[in-house]
Parts: sequence; structure tokens; C-alpha cells
Amino acid sequence: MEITKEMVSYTAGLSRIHLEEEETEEMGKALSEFLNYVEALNQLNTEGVEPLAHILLSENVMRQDVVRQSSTVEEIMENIDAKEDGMPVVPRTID
Amino acid sequence: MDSSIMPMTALDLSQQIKEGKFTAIEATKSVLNQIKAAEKSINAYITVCEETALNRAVEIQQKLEAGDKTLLASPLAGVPMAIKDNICTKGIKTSCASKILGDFQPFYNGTVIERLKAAGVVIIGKTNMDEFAMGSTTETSYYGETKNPWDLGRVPGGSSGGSAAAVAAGEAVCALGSDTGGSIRQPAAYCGVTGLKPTYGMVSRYGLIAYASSLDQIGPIGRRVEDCAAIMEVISGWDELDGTSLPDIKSKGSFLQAVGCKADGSREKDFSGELRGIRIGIPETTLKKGVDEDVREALFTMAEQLKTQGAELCPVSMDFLDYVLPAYYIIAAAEASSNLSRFDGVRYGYRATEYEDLTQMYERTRGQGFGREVKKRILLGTFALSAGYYDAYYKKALQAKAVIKEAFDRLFQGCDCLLLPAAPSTAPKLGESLTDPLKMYLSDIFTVSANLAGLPALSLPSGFDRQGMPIGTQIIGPALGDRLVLKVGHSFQKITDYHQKSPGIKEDKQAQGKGEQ
Repeated sequence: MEITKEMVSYTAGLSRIHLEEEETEEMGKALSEFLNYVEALNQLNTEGVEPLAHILLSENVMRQDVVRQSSTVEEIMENIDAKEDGMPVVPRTID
Repeated sequence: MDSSIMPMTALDLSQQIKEGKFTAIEATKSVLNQIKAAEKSINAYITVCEETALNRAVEIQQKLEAGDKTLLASPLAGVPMAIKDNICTKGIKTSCASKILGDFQPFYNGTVIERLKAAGVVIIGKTNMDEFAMGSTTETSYYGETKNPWDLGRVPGGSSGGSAAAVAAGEAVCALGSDTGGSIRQPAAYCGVTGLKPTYGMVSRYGLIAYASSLDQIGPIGRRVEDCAAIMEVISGWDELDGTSLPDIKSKGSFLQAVGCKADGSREKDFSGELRGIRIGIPETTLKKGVDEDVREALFTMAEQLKTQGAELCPVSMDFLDYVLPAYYIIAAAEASSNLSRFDGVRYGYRATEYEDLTQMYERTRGQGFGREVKKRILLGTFALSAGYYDAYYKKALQAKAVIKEAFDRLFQGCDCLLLPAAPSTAPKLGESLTDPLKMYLSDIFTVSANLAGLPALSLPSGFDRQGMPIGTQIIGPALGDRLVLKVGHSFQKITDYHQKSPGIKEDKQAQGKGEQ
């Protein structure tokens, strides 16, 4: 399968990743190469096979809904450079 | 003192610390000295925690001298250990070898770290890796490549290359790695050390920065199987904080017992390592092409040696091997594209400096913060999950996974475990894999199937190629067969000495003798 520049840009947009012009070209090539490589899977007959997500666990895991302290705001804010009044600062999201 | 501690195994070292022959402080200092001597040429670490490690060693030593029962019963008390830099350590920089995490310091410990600390382990530092564990050479690290201690012109393997190289170079007594498609076993093989990928769910992933959650598993790297068993004894078991951790695995027996040791790490006197009644599968036809001759020979020799311990060899077929890499890379990339969406420049790590709105902040932060291989896999995963392609790629890969799992189920009806090379060749030269990524992916051909099927797989030194580079062979068992693969591996190490060879300290006979019983 051939991946066009437009497809790369669209996928990069979905991924929220800015690519430089030359990167877009390079990624297009790499993606095409890879998708050709995984074509091998089409040789495998999977008709009627249920997709398998989990190997060993067959039931959902539940726990008591108990409130407990995980981390403090101060601890969490330690790793943030752009902050104000105990909150991270981001560009305006609503006009 | 240094040279006598360095080649010691974790179990021996802890025993001698508990017996008062060494102190935990001496052990930590010895490892720190070796780091100072070797790090310039190896670059196994991203962060070395000299001060906190020494303080911790003092604390452990004091507790031991005061007769602390928990520590005296621990097989790993006082052992200096390295941790792969994708496992969260409270107050210690955790970077995933990526620019995007910057100087992130987690405010909590991963479950494995809490358990190691309770067992009296000294965390010596955080090891280098491929960025977000995406790679097989440790060359995609933002912090520069790690070099193979056996040949500085070669890669250590990856993605846990820093952990494997640190153990091989004596810069740590043992280490934790993580294995998504072979990231513990392949570097262990390239660096001549022993590494285990446990059954999926055996070890809690809480605090492991996720790459591909359905495949990721934390596991031990050590100089021998016994050390891996001891680490498993400490880190494994159900964890409320990981919904995929398996309940009730401890009741099925002890890892240390499987390798002839008591719970405190001392050895049972009459453990023979006999393997009578154990059927070991040999996939002869699989090994006919695409495998270096020396690697193949090492596997066959290992099979014969296991036979002398009483094991029975039987031919098995692995005709699904052509499908494992495509299935693996689609699933891993798909999960990565979701997992790595949390890196947005808001709550931790790097943020781009110039942007006009929120979307641009995300896009530039991620565009500048992620390396090439990571961006590629995120794009691949996003593409494979996008509308119109989902069925052709992701669903197909999950179906292939089902086929592979069923094939393993059938295979294990005819044998108890099987041998496979850890990689088709020994460690390649630096730079070689970056120019041809598909070739790099091929180095994972023998490891990824254990991740897809959730199986335990142990890689251990099984010879040297004609350039003198270490060869690793895997023992793969059925799900929950971790104790069995450790037992078979330990039996092999009882009658061979490949695991006792180390780069640069090959002649240290006296110290090696100390490492043996």
C-alpha cells in the first residue's frame, strides 16, 4: 500500500504530532514500507477466528470503590513549570 | 574488595552481607566504583543515584546489624540493583530515555520498586534504553547509545540494553528490565547475561510507563538463573493497582525452590538439577534458515547438555513464525499510539516554547519531544486504528494473535517447554540497524511470540560465536510455567560455565570460585 503525503499529514494531525516537511516525506516512505511488510498477515487464514485481546484473564476485575489519598496537589505540581495557583497553565481553550 | 564483589551473584552477595563478610555499604561502594570506571565507555545509566544509594545502604546495614527479621529473611538484602528508566521511582528522574519526559520525577514508586525496597535492595540508578522501549539496540535513546561491554563497537541490544550492559560490566549486580517484544531477553543474550520475561500478569505493571500494555511485562536480569528466581520471588504476585495482574500465583509454589534455594536465598544441599521426565521441544525446521550457524549450534549443544540432565528432546513445529512480527508490530504500535497520547506537555516534561493555541502546543511539543522511531510507531498505530483500516490491520493482528496462542497450546501438548534462539545472530555493530529498520525488527523474530501468547521465556548464555560474542538461547514455557523454565535454565547453568564468563574479568578465577557453591 502506498501512503501519500496527505495521508501522513492527516495521520500526524490525528496523532497531534507536528512533522517538518522532510519528516513527512520520510515517514511516508517508512509507513509504506512497513505496511507492505505486514501484508504477510494476509496469507494467514483467519476466517471465523475471534480476535484475542487478553490471554489469561477471562473476567473483569472489580474493586471496592473506596476513596483514598494517592498524591497531593503539591507533589503533582512539582513536575510542572507553567503553573499558577496550583493549576497548570495552558493556552486559552475557549474564545 | 572491588574485584571480589563484582562477579558475585545477587544471592551470594546477600548471603555474605547477612553473614557479615561484607557490608551493604561496601557492596554499594564497590558497584559505584565500577560505574565510575566503566560508565564512560559503556553509558549504561541515565541517572546514577550515588548519594541516595549510599544512604540506603547505611540504613540497610544498620537494620541487619540490629537483627531486622524481614531483611535477614530476604534473598536480596543489601544487593545493589539497577532499574530500567521506564519504571517509576519516587523522587528519582524517570525519563524513558525520551526528551519529552524532561527531568520528570515521579511522586510514587512502581509496585516492583516498593517490593524491592521492602526486600532491602539498594537502587543504584536508572538504566538507558531505547526511547519508550521502542527499539532493539538502545540506539534510539535521547541520552546516547549504550555500548556492549564485550565489544564497544557493538550494540548491547534493546530495549533494556542499559540494564543488560550494566550487569555484564559489573555496574550492577542485577537489574530490572521490561519486555514487550524481547526487550529483556535479546539484550541479555547480546550481553551474555540471564533474563526472564515472566508470564503476562505475573508481575505488576503499576508504575511501568506503558508502551504496549497487553504485551509489556517487567522482569529480572542477572548473572545467573538463581538471581532471576530471587528477584521474581520478591517482585511477583497480585497487585490491586494492576487490573491485569494474576491472582493467587504465590500459592503455586516458590521461584527460589524451583532452582534449589530456600526462601532466604540459601541453597538446598542436595539439589541435583535433574530433569528426568521433562520434554523439551526443538523446532529443528524453524532453525534451518535465517539463523547464524554459531547460534544454531549453540542451541543444539544446549539441547544435548540438557539431555545429560535427564530431559527428553522432541521435535516441534512452529510454522506460525512468519506471522509473529507483523502481528506484533501492528498491536504494539496501536497500543503505543493510545498510551503515548498522555505526553502532551501539560503535566510533566518538555513543552515546546513557541505556539499559538492549544493544538499547536500539543503538536509542537510532541513533534519536538518524541524521537523518530517513536513518532513512526505512533503514526503507524494511529493509522492502523483509523476508520477504514481497523479491520485490515488491527483486527487481523488480534486474530493472528489468537491463531498463535492456539498453536502454542497445541505445541505444549507434546512438550513441557521449548528452546529457541534469543536472536538470529549475536550483537550487531553500532549504527547497522538504524539504516535498515526492517532488519532490526527481524532480530525480534524469536522473542515476540512469547509476548503475543503471554508466555514465560528465559534467555541464558549458551555459548560464544567465532568473534567471541555471547550467544543466548531461550527456554519458553507454557503460561504460568515460569518455575519450570527457571528450573531447566538453572539445571543448564549447573553443568556449564558460559554464564560465569564476563567481559574484561575473564581471568578472575578466585572471585569466580566464590560465586560458585
